[in-house]
Amino acid sequence: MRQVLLAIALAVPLAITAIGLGAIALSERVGATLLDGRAPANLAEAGASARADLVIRFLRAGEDPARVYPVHQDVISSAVLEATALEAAIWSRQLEIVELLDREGAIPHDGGTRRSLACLALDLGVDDVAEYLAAADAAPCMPEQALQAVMARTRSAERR
Amino acid sequence: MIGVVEPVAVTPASSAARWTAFAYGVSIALILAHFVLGLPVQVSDSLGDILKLSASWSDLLSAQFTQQGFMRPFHWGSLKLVHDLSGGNYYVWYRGAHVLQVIVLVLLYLALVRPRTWTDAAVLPLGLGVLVGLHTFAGTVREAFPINLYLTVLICCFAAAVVVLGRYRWWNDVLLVTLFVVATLTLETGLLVWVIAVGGWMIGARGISRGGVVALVVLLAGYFYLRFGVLGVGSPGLAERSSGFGFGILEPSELVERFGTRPIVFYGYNVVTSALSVLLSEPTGGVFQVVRALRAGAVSPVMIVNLISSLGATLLIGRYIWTRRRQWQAGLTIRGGVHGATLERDDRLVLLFAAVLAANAVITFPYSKDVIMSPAGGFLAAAVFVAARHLLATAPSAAGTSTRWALVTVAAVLVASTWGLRAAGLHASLRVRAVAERLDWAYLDGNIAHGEVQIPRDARSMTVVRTLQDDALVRHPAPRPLNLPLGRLLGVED
Repeated sequence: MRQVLLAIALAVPLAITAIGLGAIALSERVGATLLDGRAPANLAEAGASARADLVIRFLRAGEDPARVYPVHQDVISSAVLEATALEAAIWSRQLEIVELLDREGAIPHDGGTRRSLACLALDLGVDDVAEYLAAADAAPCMPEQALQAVMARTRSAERR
Repeated sequence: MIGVVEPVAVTPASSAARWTAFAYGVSIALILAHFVLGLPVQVSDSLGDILKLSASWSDLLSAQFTQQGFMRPFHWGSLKLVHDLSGGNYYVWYRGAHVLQVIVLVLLYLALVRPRTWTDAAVLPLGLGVLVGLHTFAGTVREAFPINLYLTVLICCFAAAVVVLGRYRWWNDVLLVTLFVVATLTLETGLLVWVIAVGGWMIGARGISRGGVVALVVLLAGYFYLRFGVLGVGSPGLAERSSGFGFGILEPSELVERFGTRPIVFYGYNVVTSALSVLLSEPTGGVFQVVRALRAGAVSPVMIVNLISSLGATLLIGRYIWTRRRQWQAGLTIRGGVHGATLERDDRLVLLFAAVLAANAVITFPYSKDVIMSPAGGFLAAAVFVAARHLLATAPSAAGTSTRWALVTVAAVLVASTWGLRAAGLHASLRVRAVAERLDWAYLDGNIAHGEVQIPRDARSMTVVRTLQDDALVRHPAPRPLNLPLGRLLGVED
């Protein structure tokens, strides 16, 4: 009896671990999910989550960096539920993602988009991004204007 | 803990127990393989090497005999072989090779410990938990170069032990010589195959003949003559790379400054701390992490888990050695030129662990790196299996009072649980790594543009880069992140 109890004491904790890991592996193999965390669902969420790998993947899959995407409230905040990939990246202070999106051609050369993004970065106090996006000949920013524009989008979506 | 040895109560061999153990082992291998497949071919330590593989076989291999510090032609041969066979399908072939290595390793572990009874089947989860949960193993699956040469050597070491501890067959000597050559010319720790084969023979294992031992001795002498005498490859110097010392990492320049005139102090430190690392999980990578955390008042739960589990495993082996000391004294006495004839197979396996631990630590002298100690870690897992089997077989009759018995059972639950956490932690870390490696691919273009990654920019090289990048980011994207309970105990949140 003692031997059986000791055998159970040695085997069961590890067997439970193996069963748990096996269940995760099996569920993933058949396309289901078990104990998995939330993964970014679109380009904006990937940008906000610093998931550069998914940014590239969503871009290759045809997602539009200029499009406004729904953003889960856990990703940025409950005040920002809709954003473009660049806005989301700036809001999450992700300079590397902004640079990556720029390299991928996500910032059009129209001047206006870059300026409004730089203004958003200034409003949010993300100095490194603001510096990266700043253009010598750009008009000065109106404080809070870019920030309010993004947040107004969420308020508008909530009213809808 | 329990010093009295009563007649061993071993459950009879059973075909059902054997198959249960086999099925469990294969399951563990396949689960680990699933997580390993989540990793892409890496940028670091892999991309640069893959880009060199378009060179001819002769250029590639001859370069291995003319560089300083390292001589690894078989590693480069295996990289080249898989590269040429892949036809550009790098992810499938290189990750497939890694998965194959994992499965072969677990099968060899089963062959080494030979689970045959229900008692064996009961301790197998602990043995495999130690095998994959020990920190020295992590580097064999978290990284690839892009074929993990540490895992290749671990496989060769296990294979050598299986052969030398088994029944003699005419081809055993040829197999052991082949394993020695492949392992030694893959990585310097491959020399441990020699320790296992010759050490095994010295303690009475007869899977190798006297002629085989002589051949290995000659080959070892030839290896050193070739490496140090003819080719002048030598061994890595102090300036080779950074290494842990005390409570932090010293850069090569700091190593030269502190130990340039007396490197023996640094080498001795590496040998001792490498052995301690396997037995206690402290220090790791040459750094006394737990002591440092204690001083800073910042001990993390995972450190406690690692310490408890390793201490438990080492005490278990210590108990085995203590209870078997008389048989060992008798068995290790040379009578009529026969060594270790009265030792049992399990004794030899534990003795081989001791020999591999000592030799592995000595080979690690130039710098501390956990994964270099992976052969000693692998044999620790085998020794833990033997010791736990022995505990199960002897403890019921030896454990005396109920209080003492209850303590033994609680200790067993604690040790098994902490090893379960470590094994789960490895899998969780593989999932974290799956994302981290892909971030390297995502930022590669920027890093190339900034000169932080330097690779050839010719058309052929860039085609390979794009293929690997698309493999990692588009064709085989990162698996979903895991949200496992007890994250802090698993070490994934630290």
